[in-house]
Amino acid sequence: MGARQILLFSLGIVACVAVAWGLVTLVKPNRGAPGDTGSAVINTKGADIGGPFSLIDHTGKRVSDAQYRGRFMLIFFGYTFCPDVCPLELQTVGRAMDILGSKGEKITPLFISVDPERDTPALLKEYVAAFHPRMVGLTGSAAEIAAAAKAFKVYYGKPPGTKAGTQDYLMDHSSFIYLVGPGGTLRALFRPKTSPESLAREISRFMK
Amino acid sequence: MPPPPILFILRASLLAAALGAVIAMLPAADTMAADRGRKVMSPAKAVTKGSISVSNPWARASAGRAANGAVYFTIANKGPSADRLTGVEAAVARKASLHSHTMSGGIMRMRAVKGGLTVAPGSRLYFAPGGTHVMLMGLKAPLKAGESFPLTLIFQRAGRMTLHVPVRPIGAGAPGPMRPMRPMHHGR
Repeated sequence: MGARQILLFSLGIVACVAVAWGLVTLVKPNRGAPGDTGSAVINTKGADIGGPFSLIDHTGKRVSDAQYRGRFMLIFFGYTFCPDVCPLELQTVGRAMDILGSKGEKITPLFISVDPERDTPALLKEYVAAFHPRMVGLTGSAAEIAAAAKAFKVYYGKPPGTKAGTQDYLMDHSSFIYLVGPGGTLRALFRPKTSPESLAREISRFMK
Repeated sequence: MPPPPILFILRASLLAAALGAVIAMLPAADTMAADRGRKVMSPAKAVTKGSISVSNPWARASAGRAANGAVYFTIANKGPSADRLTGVEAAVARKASLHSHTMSGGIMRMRAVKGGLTVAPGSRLYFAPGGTHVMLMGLKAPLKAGESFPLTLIFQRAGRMTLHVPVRPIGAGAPGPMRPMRPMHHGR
């Protein structure tokens, strides 16, 4: 085999590998990990989301958002009586934190209850421990929770038709995940049902 | 006489293209392998009665003393007639019922499924996190990973079917939402 043939052969291989790679990468649907329903990030440009809060953590201590300045906050609003969505999203948050590794150590995952009537610090303590060792559960008075929810533009409430006085009620609530930067401003908003891998990837992007 | 160089280059190029495709697929294969790892590896066989087959039942372990839980599974109707899942019973909770989510504007609303769920002939119904599920309200004891409990599904035609539902740990053990096979209508 002459030098020229070897050269042609090598170029041929390089060209074909490049073409094959290109085809597979471009033609393959950009699906991300299973469970993704599309782009995880919601464009929050111009949205005035986020703000101060004063709540009680799961150890019974009074905390405010100021406590978390200098660190990132990853916030989810939900309630412990939630059978499906909240465990799913908190599980995703916990796993994303682990995937992020050392970057994850700069983040405090927060679970803010929209059901302060039933979600006591004691209940929250056991609950958040199941999802991540550093997850903080927050509750407070109805007014304090309302203020925090208002700051983050979170909708929550008992479904229409809920019998007054029942202790078994479920709640409708916004299910986004909020990433707040060390300065206290919102960095990104993520959709529910995002996979942990996608969430970790996007969080990493917004931590730069 | 040796084969002309062009044939050699052609054959080598085809081989290289195949190799390139394989290399390019490796990340996808990794994802697919991860997919498999995340799918529920239920050791139990599907429970079949008449045309109805229920597979991959599972429940997530309770977080702390959380009062409510959810059960997921797949129902396949292999027969020529539609059937309807009209009820569900679970001794582990005060009440078990069929629920589904609708999401609009980022707000998740969980609603009881009224009138049961139709399983069309030749089709499957997926009960998965963030979607349709059996809600267990008022668990008598927290669900512990590694345990299992019975759950009875009541079908209009197939009648009563009892599943043994394994409890999976939170985190690595419990799968996430199932990727929809058909576009799902999320009211936005």
